[in-house]
Amino acid sequence: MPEVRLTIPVQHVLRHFSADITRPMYGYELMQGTGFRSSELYPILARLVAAGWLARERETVDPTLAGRPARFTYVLTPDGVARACQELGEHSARPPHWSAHLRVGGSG
Amino acid sequence: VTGLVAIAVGSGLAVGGALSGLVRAMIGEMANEEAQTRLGRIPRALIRLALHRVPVDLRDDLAAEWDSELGFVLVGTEGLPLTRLLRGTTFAVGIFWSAGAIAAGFGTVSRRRAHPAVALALFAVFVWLISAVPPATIMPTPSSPLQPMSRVHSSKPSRVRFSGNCPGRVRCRPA
Repeated sequence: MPEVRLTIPVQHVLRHFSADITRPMYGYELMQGTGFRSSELYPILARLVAAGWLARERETVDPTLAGRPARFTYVLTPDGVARACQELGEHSARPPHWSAHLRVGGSG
Repeated sequence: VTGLVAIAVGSGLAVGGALSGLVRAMIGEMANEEAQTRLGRIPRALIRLALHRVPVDLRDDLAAEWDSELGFVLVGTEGLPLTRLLRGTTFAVGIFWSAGAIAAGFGTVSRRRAHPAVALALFAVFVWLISAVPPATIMPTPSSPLQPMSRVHSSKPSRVRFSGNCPGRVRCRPA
């Protein structure tokens, strides 16, 4: 798996995901949340997906019932949570206290 | 007789002028509508062009994502053609511009690297020639409001578990 360079925009995207790490987010939603343009956001998402930090999934909606096509969502993978937690902690002036409470795939 | 001829000529000119004005107005309206329709196709055309810059195996997937997201980018712009054009084009230009980087991000190499001038020329020709672009069938309609994520997803993923409280921006569920 390719490594992800934790540039400031990548950190910004990861921090946005960390607001609620279990919630899948849409591309446009992330654009609005991060303030990034599509040209900035989608390459970052692609890199994070390729590196296994994010999972990209198609919605399970019936387009005819929903009246719109299925969208794609992005959510942090367990590995992505752990690595984001570690990397963001290293890049942050203030250590993320929540990292100490994180249990990935464990029973808690 | 001269007076009658003058009246006839005057009436003819008046009718001709009125007809001419009517035709001009109609043509102007048609041209306006045509321009609006063609300009409205620009964002989708740009996305089609962007798809030509990514490897074939990624195209269907990315087309589905970008088309659906474009639909949401344009939500709320019905009846606002200029806003719709600007918002949609901004999104699509970004996609077009970064298509190579997106393909590279997914670990594949972009098939084509578009030179800006070539891309611009190609885009201009493409926009003018497209007439077979399917109508915006994938746009969300006012009768089908957007659904929040909680309704869209049958179950929330629960892959990660936590214990303790999580200060700061992070909202974790206590185990």
